[in-house]
Amino acid sequence: MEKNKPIIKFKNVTKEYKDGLKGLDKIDLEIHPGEFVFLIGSSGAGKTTLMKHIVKEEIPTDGEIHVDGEDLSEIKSNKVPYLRRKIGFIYQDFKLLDTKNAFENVALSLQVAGKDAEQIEKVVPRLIELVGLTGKEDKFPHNLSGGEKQRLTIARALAHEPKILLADEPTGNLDKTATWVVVDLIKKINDWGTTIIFGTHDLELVKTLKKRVIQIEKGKIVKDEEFLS
Amino acid sequence: MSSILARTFTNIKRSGWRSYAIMFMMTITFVILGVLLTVIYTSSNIANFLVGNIEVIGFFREGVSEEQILETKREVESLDYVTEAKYVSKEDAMKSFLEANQENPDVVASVTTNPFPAHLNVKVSSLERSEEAASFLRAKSDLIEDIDDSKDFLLALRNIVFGIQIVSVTLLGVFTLSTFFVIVLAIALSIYSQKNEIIIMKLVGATNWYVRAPYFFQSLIFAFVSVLIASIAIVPVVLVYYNSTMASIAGGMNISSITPLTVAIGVAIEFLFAFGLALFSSYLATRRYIRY
Repeated sequence: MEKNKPIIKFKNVTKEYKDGLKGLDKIDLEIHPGEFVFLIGSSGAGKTTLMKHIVKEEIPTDGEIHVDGEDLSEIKSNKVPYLRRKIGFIYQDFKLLDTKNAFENVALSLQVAGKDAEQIEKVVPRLIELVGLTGKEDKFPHNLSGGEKQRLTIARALAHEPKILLADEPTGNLDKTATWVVVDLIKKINDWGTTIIFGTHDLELVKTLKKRVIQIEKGKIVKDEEFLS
Repeated sequence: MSSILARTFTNIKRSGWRSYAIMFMMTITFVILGVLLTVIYTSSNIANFLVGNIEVIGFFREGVSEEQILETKREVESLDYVTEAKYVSKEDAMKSFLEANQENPDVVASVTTNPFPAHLNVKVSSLERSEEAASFLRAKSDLIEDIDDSKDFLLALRNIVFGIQIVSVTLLGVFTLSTFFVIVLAIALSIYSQKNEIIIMKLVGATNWYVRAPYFFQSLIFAFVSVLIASIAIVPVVLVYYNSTMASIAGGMNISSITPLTVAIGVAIEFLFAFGLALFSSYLATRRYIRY
């Protein structure tokens, strides 16, 4: 993917639900490889909806979405998993499996892609080390703190070496210290070249990092600035 | 693949009593299926036996010459629905009678002169056409005195056999349908209890096959175990008792017998049927319920 070509492109995208509500309303958006973009807006403004469209978890009623050069409308449902392996996704509620330990939660990403046990044994410890959880491989999610859980989801999201990392309110449930540990980690991932879309309510965080900011309200982009002043 | 199989066994383990309940239900179905297959096999053999033994007998008048009888036999043989025509002379009829009653000297002694008329045994291709054979013979009333047509008896017997087959197939349908619903329900419950896991697997890039495969394998394992138990229950009984029971019912006639090969084919049919049912049910269940 060339640097000047957008890795994510929304062209006049609208998502209208059966009850007439609009999740997205004529969104035009371009995000380039390696960018770090904050997505801000009030609850229900459309931040999560926009991210779900990028992984084809939702399908627009109108408009075009291109991700990594591919028109999502042309990707058949059986090919969607391969799209999702290019995109890491981290969530406010972690979405970890309580019945699996830290190692197994990260290994899941590799297992679904058909990696063998040898590869998994090699890759997972590296990812766990990367997020600073070495020694906690055998811990189950309920034995980890909020910050540790979020770092674990980051490790899982990085398993496929994604080109894009979508972070939907990743610090929403964390205290200040844990927030900055997670943010530093995400910044580091961005420095390696991964495109980051970071949905948040935390304006202090947005102001501090001085990255591109897109504000969504009622499904429309109301602001797209270099940084929030 | 190893990951899919590991998930399959985890699913079975987690399902606990549901797994045992579904296998119990399926085992009962396949025991009944085995019994019904035996009934259908036997009734088909009886039907074939009846078809192969449809006979119209024409008894010739006293004094009809052998030449006339053989001419009638040739005419009968030329009819397209006649499969065989056998001439039995007066002497042969007497001989057969004496042979059949050699252990009853009183009966033999009571027959001083030959009372048996010469006759023509005519076999036809179907029960329906026996009436035509009877009409043909009846038209030769100058030669033929009487006709023995067992059509009504055979027709009644055949209807009974068909009735048994229809009831068997209906029961087969009912049990198949109930097993289908049991499998669908069991898989639906499994899917529901693993909803979060499925959502997460899909979000991290699992293919539909990866998500669905354990449910397919799970139902295939259920089917395999159920047919195995059902076969262990039925096969020895059939092998030991079937032939002797049929022989005693049919008065020594070989109407229907079973060989180990026939039983093996029956078991193979049960396995194929069970696997087909398991795959179909799990395909529909996963399509219907994995919507995350």
